[in-house]
Amino acid sequence: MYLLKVAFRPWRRAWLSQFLGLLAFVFLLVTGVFLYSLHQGLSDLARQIDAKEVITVFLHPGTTAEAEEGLVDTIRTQVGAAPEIHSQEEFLQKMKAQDPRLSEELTALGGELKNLVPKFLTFEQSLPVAEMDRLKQMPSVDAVERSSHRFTNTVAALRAFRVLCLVLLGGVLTTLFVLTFQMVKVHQVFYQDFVQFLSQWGSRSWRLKSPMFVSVTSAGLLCSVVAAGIWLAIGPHVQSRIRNLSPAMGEIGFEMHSQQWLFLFGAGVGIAMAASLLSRARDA
Amino acid sequence: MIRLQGVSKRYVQSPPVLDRVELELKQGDFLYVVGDSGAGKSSLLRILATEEGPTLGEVSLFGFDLQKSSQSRLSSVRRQIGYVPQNVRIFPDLTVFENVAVSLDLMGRRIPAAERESRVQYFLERLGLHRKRDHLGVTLSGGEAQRVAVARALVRNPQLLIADEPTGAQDREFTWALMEQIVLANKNGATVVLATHDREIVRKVRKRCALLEAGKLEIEEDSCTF
Repeated sequence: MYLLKVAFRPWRRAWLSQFLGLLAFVFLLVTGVFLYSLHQGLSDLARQIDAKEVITVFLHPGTTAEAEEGLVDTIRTQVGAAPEIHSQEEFLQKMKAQDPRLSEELTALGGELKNLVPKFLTFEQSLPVAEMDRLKQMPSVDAVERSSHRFTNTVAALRAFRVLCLVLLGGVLTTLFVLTFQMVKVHQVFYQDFVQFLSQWGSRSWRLKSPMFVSVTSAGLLCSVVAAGIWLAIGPHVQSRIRNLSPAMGEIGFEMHSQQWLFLFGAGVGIAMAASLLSRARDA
Repeated sequence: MIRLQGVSKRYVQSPPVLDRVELELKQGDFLYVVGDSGAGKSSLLRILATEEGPTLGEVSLFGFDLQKSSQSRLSSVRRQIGYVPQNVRIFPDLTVFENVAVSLDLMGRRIPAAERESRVQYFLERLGLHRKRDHLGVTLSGGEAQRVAVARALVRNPQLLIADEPTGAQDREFTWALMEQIVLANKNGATVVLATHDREIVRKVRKRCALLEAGKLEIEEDSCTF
């Protein structure tokens, strides 16, 4: 009990300094969990985009509607994908939007159009080379193409951003540690008489650090709880703002998962414990 | 028990406070350390209490050479000492009871709550502090704080009691109450080293005396000429 009384001396004797110190602690923790969540979200996003591959199956010009449906069924059952049929009209419509002049030239071809504008199927699936070869052997199939590396630049940009988050996170955690270490040094002045007494009366070294440990670790725990509350409150808002920045960010998630909780309490309590244990009890 | 060999103490740029002091005490001895202000009494007691080390010489307590002892050995030696410094350090934010009980909690072994309570209460009553049991340290007078410091030292039944002017801030009633408890601890086997200015105490409670003068310690075996 007396240990707690002594441990909370800094709050009784210099509450404003304590309050401001903890305010900075909470701010850094919230910034840290934001960067950590962003890092995790970008990792997931990059992985998703990287895994997204579009297979295009071009059909022979004379393929009948029955043959098309037969091929779709075969792909469904043998490859396990859900192919989408793209007609020549659909192709021309898209072309019209992207390149009206080319679209007009193609339409002017009349009957020749059937031989020039392909019918094709598309589906999202990452297939091994053997599967691709099997697709090419299927009846009515003229050629098969895959869209590998289509999003290389996007994925690379996301990964670069992720590294940046990691660097910033490192800076925030270092600042948090330095702040906590300074807090420990300030606290030592408050416990000087107690630590001297403990030492004089034969306390073991771990006990000399006990007031500091209790005080700073409880401060770390308190800050973690406050930071978790703030993040739970502002997290969804931050998520929607980030998602609105770009369509590429549309699927990024900022929900509190076990990893985020672990990070928050690990950083708050762990850094506080480390700082109080690393400092020498009799420095003051 | 206590052995000092050629112990000198010098603070920065000043003549030695202690000059090649020799001292040997056995378990159960009682020694007054007397001398003028600034003679080095407190320095000697601080060295005996392991609060500071000598500049030169060897200090041995309970058979251990302190200069060669590890931190853990030093801690175990300290747990057998009850020390009342001249400048008493009581904790302003703890109650009188807690200020005394804290030394019991640092003995390195668990003391049952009932025994802890009764031992602390015993000294609070004997030293006239029982009515202030739940008062915070910050509210105590100098004399009361000094008695708390003595109670704190005695409550752990130390093998070695070192007291630096423990009656300096007391009136006569409490001076004798304190001395009674200190003598009782000595009768129960504690070695006592007590620095004092009080000639009456030295005359009434007759024990061996060591006179410190200009850093030299002179043991007076039969009577104290102080």
